[in-house]
Amino acid sequence: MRTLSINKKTYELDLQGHETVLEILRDRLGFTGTKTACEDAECGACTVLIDGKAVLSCITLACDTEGKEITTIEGLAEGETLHPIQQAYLDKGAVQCGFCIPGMIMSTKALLDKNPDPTQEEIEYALDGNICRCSGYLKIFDAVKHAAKMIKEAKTHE
Amino acid sequence: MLLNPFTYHAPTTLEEACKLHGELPDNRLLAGGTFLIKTLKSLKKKGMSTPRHIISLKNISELSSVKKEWDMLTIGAMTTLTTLYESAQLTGDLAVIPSVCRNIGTTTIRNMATIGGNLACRYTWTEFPAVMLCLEAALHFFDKDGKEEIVTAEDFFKNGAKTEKILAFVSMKRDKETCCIYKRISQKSPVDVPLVSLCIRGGFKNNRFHHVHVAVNNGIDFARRDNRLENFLNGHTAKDSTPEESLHHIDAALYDANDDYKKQISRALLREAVRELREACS
Repeated sequence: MRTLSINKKTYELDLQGHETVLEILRDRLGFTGTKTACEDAECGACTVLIDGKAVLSCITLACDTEGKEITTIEGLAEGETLHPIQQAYLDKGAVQCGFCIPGMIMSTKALLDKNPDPTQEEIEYALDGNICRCSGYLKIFDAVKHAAKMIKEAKTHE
Repeated sequence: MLLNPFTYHAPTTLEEACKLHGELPDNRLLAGGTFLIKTLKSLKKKGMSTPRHIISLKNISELSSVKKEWDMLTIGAMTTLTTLYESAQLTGDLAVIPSVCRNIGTTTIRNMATIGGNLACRYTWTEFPAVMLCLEAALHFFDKDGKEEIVTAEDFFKNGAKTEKILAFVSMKRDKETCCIYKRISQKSPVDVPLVSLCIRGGFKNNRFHHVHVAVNNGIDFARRDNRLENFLNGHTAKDSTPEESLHHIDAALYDANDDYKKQISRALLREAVRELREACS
């Protein structure tokens, strides 16, 4: 049995060595927010955070994440209140089909946690592992900037 | 299931990993997983056999490190490309390392991929071999009994990058009097694989190049040094015409790889690299 920490909760799981984080999240624990798309580490739809770093869950073995903190898209909102990043993506109309969005948001979270005021170049660099076929990216980048502004304002009012 | 079943091993010390690697039949070492896991998926899809044992090196903390002692830098093989990109210790001639990391893959890949995997994976096109040749790096391997063997990067890649041992560390001596330039051209989609890459290192004194190393990777063979060009540049006065002149003093076989596009592009990269080296060192 291994213990995984996902969205600040612990799960005791009988893991098989070859199971990926993506499979555990979706098939065993019902965290279907993280998407299966290319399954080949090229699209970023499966992006989650492990100890705050954006990684590809389709090529990460679940056994390798014991002792680390996994954060999925489900772990961002607090109850009914969306995380500022999620709200920003909605506010800026950055979501079309929505399939890439959980991965985009997780990469955005990793970026803004480390760099609260990124430049356009830094945003594009941080999200270079997340592909969107629908939007042309401009509204996604606007959403990231808007989220950064919202988070900064929230911290100012604290 | 995305992968065929295997037995997973997670040693916490290098000694334990070496023992497992020596004892388990049909095992593979898992570093960042950006090559191995993709390969295992591909093999499964093709109905081919896959290893029975996977030894993950991710829990061996001593292998994830960047240590500077005097003028020697030692990097643990499990150090991720993001860590190297962000390392404040990699300055001067070693600043080439973060600049190489910046352009490998994507942010998510760089958060997972390791320098050890890039060096020891046996894909001929990877980025770091040419750089390590120029930096005169030493590769520290450990066998199943935990005994260390130190091999120069040049010898390792000359011998086809084959080893039964575990690559644990990479060390190099910094040289404050030299600069290092790395150039690459890659096909972008869907896979970021360098078609051609080269690295040039050297210093500049009294308007002459010195201590020049040139390593070329044509994507087909492992990176190798261009001794002919090095001999030309060492002691050569740097003129405006030197970058163009350099093209007449190369070991052409290292660059050409039977592909006209690569022939032209490698010369363009080389011309630019020589010019940038002179500017960087001035």
